[in-house]
Amino acid sequence: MGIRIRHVELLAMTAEGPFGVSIPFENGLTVLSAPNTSGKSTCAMAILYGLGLEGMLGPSHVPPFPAAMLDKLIHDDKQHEVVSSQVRLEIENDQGEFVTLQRMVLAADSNTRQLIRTELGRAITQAREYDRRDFYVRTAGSATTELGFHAFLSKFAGYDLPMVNGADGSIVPLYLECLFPYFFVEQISGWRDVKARMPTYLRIPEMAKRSLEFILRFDVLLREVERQSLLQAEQKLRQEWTSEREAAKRSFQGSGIIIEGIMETPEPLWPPTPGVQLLVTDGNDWTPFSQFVAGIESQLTHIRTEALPTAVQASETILEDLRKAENAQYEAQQRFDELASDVRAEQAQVIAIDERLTVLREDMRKYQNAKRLQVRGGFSQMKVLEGICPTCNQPIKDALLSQDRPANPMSLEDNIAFLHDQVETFREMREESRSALSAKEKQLETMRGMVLNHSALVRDYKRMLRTDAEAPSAAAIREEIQLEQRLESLMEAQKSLGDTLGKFADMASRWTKIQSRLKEIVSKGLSVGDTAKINRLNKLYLEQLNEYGFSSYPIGEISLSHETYRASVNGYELGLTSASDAIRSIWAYLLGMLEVTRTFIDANHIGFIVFDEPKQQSAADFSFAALLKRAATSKAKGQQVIFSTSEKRERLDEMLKGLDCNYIKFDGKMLAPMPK
Amino acid sequence: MPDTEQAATEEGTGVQPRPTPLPCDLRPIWRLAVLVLILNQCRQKRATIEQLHVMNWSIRRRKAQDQFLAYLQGRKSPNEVVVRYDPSLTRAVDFALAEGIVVRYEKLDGGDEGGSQYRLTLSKLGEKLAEELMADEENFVVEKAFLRDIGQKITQTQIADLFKWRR
Repeated sequence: MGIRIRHVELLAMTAEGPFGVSIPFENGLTVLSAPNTSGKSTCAMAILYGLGLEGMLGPSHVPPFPAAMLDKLIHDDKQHEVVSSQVRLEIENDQGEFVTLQRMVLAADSNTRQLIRTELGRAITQAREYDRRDFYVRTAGSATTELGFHAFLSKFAGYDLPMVNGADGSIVPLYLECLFPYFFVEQISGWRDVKARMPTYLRIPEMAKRSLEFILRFDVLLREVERQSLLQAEQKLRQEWTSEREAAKRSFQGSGIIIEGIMETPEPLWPPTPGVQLLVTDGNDWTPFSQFVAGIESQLTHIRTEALPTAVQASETILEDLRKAENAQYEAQQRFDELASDVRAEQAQVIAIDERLTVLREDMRKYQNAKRLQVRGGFSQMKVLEGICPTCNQPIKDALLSQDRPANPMSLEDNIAFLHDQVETFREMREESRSALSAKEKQLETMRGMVLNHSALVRDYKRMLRTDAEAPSAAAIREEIQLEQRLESLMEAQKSLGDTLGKFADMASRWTKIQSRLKEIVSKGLSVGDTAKINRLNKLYLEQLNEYGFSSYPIGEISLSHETYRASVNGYELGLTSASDAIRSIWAYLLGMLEVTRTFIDANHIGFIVFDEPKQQSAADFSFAALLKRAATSKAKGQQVIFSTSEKRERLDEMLKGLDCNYIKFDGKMLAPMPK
Repeated sequence: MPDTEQAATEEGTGVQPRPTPLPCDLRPIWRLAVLVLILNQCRQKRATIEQLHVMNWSIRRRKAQDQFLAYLQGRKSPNEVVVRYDPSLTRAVDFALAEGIVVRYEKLDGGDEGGSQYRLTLSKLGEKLAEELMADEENFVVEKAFLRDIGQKITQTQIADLFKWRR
């Protein structure tokens, strides 16, 4: 797991030729010693930038480099205009594979900064032709797509980045930018706070916690990831259920049938009680499906067993039948008109409710915005909020109405609760109105059919009064055909109900599985293994605080929280300490994380740490020597700790005496003329 | 059963009138925040009361927002857009002056109504509040989006035209 830095090269092209620096890195402790403003931070930053990870510091796309790489560099008291500049890194992974990365810093087209050219080999130290591939960084998809550099780098480092919840409900990878604050401490902002400075703009909730869990490979993260994916599956199933339910309702449209008994939200128990059933309308009442079918069948049997009447047989009764049919047609027409006006009224009702809901929701949103202001920030200081008039200091009501009116406005909280109830009520009303509308529309449809049937019958009777005496009665035939058609469409509906119920049974069983797995996961906290890891980190952290001379609190009162994994004093988060104690704590914590992975080799630590020495903080204030000694132990474990410092040379020589380390010294500006 | 019902009714007849719900745009805090956002968007962060009336009317409702945008883009003529003078804005402005969020910047010449013809601007405090509001990306999303859509393109003439036709 992880990568090692093998070589860093900075190059700036000027009219007078190339300037640059080339630095080899080995395992173990590397100390980069150079005076202030010589470019040692530039060198540390080159590692971050070369890996395309400067986004860890913030959303800015301006390269995090000083003028020497971007504008003018000074050499021998002369200024040289920089035409272009770049960074190259040679890195190695656990498998002994090398890649060389090249990224532009200053280029004619700033878009080329989003390009990282890689050569699959040691292109700096053993220059020859290697396979080349180009990747993109700092752009959408750089962590997820084939052409994304961070997708490539993750794979190269042996990482399988977990998918976690983004703030807006989306699922995003735990970006490399979220991990690197634990591997790289930047000179200016990195030392400000004892807790790691996270790129919060990436909007991943609990980013610091999730990242640490990933780096130390906590089971609790794997479970959290599973939980998130279950919750997502749950949400999707809920949508599927709703849309299937809508589809089931729609599927019978036009056949005068409604389906009843499918719950609005997924049910683990399937089939539900009372069961799902179909209701059929004859335009007036709703009858259970089987009963309605039986009715039609018995009518059909009756017609078929009676011999078809001929027109002449029928003629005595035709006039009577015609009168009846005309009455029935009239009544059906009446009923049809009534239903049509009901449908229009119901439609208007649905629209009115929708409008009301929109207004309520808009108001609700405004209230939530107002509530946010009330809690913190400048607006929470306003006098009007305390119910005091800012002009005359008299009590006032929380409203921009005339203050003489007797109204007593609700508090914001109560008003929000009130709106919430209103929205609920109107939502239910809309649901009711919609199902009433849909039932009415079906009745209307059926009634339209009835009107047509009756007028056809009327026409038939009229025609029969004029036709051949021996022909069979057209009215009787028509009635039989109509009944057969109705029966056929009902049978089709029944068949499709079978398919629908199958789908719901399947969804219900998936729902049950998700629910029971969720229940299992929720009940567990840190696993035994997780606890062992956090305890180990705790031990290493406290041990080092002691070695480095931490003094803000008695070390016996400090421990790492099992909740946040941060240091706490008697249960309260370790907050303000002296600046030098903050630095000690950061050293101890980050080095501790690196050391934990020596015992727990399954962890995901990148395998190196870069400390860019805090500015304006002399190492004399704290035990730099103890830290260097401890960091030097990384060599035996094949890890890297890289320090850049402007500590006085003599003192540094003293501290490093006898330590196995890679000691790199610069006496002037690091960027110097290079052979062409 | 009747006993408890009666008891409840009696308890309800307390001295305080029952609290009533209000539309949020009648709440001082919401309006002050929106006033700050509006002024922050105006050219040089200054506006006349008349401008504020128009912006205040348009920002409060989705429908009004659409209408106003349609007017600015020339899809609606001034007489199709009925801007309502809203007395509660005057109170909001009074509060804002008293809280020190806005200050009178200059008196305007030829103001026919006298007192109200000032140009208002954000105070230091107001600018700080504006910064705070703009920094919180999750708050006042709709209002900010609307103001962004408008930009700083509104002219005095466009504002005046909205009132002229009915005088």
